[in-house]
Amino acid sequence: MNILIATANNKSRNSVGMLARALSKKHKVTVASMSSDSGHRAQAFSFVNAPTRVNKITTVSAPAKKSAKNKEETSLVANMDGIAIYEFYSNPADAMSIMLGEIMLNRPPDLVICGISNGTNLGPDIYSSSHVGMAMEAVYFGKKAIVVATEFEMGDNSPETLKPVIQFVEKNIEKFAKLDLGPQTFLNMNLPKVDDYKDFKGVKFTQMGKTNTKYIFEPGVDPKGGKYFWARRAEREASGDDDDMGAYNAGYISVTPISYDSTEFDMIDGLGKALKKLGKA
Amino acid sequence: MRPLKILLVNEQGCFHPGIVALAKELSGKHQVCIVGPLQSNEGMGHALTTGCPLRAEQFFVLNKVKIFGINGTPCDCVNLAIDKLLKSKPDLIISGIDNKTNRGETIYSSGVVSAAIAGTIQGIKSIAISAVIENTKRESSYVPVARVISKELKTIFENIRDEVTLNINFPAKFTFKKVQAARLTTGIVHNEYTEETNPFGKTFYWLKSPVTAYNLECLEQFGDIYWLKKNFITVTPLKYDLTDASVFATLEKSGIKL
Repeated sequence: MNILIATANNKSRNSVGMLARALSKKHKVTVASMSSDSGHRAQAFSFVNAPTRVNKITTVSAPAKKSAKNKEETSLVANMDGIAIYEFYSNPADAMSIMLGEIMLNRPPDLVICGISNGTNLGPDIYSSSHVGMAMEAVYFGKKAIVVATEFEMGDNSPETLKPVIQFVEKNIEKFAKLDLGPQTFLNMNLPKVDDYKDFKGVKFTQMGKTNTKYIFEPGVDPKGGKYFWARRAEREASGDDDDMGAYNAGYISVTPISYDSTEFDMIDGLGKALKKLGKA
Repeated sequence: MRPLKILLVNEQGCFHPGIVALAKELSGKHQVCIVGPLQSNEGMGHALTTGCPLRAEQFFVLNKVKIFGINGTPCDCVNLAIDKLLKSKPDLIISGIDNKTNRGETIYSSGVVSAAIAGTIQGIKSIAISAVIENTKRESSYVPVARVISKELKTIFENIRDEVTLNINFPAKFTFKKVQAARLTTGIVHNEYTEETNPFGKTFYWLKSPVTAYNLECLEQFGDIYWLKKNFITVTPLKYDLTDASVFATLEKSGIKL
């Protein structure tokens, strides 16, 4: 298959290299990456004010760390020879749009994999996640897309965390590509952190979690005495067992079908009647 | 209607004529506060700033309306206002007035619609207002839309359900006879880019024009784009929960497993 791996992270992240290398054994893989890690960009676009610069890198080589225990895993970038890597100086959604609308126009991917996200996309995170934003953009272009996310780790996901995640994607990749979810839907997947593949409790198809998130800012004072606010990690209360957060917290792989058609059809009729009163009061 | 505590937010900046016109119109009856980005944040969608700190600059008071400028995105403005800048939770968040329509698939890259959704996520009734404006720099261009919102706020406010954001679009010429509860138009997008080379010989791309092949059924029946073209004011209820429940059966049969 022809697979596009789109990441909101830099190309040299573990998550990018390990996934690309694993999938390239059987498939033709192209990577779209960002010049710097660009989390929480949702579907932001840069094209309004600025053009987008793109670098194409066909072979990347980075020296392997001698101290690394497992040379094969930590020198991933060096092993990506032959995989075309595009590096974008823009927002993640621009990257997806240019990949599908221009660069891969004549060889469209059979599946777009957005990730691996360093940090989960559960409940309201779906709105602000860069990887989800990329997947939504892919769906606009009529492509099949999945988002892969795992637990947040400071800096970069470790190879140990990524290994079982990649194993799951690798095992099911044909099924993801075959799945017909209609023209507006993609899969948002969150995989808990496990030591070994067999520690996953199972796969659950879940509902998107509730809006129980608080966005809290830490106030501070800069060296010149100016006051500032810095976003803390969003806090949320425990939610039901049957939604994405519940399944994830219980150790299951949460798979949520997300559609961009967010019309609340139940309200259309009632709203239509209410609107007739406008201008008469 | 009782006076409401209203937070105004937008994507074009806290001094944009659209938000100022709305603030002036609403501040007579309601308690209004503007928290907007310092710079234009067009096309920022639901982006959040996490890597660097935010600052809140408080500017002059206009008709009893406090104005805060934030060096962040529209959604940062909403989140920071609720957590730190406002004394109590607002009753209503109004995002806009945007000087272009936000409909169809473009709502997710719109900072105006996303800021309203950010309010809904935090359990506050929220609406997004966009309009086709001819002279976008003049405050008076936005006054007719601002007046409609101010006058009809009771009806609008009463019709906002929990976990639903109302996305309202005004065509260039509108009347009350032409108001439509419309669905979001869906379709397949074909964005075209121009490939060019910068003075240093490096490739860059710039969007030529977005071309969308919309779902014909949507265009013909209830889609917001269809109604806007016919000069209707459109009101689209957007639910928070994006789960596509119709595909669960397909997923169960898909064989996706460990």
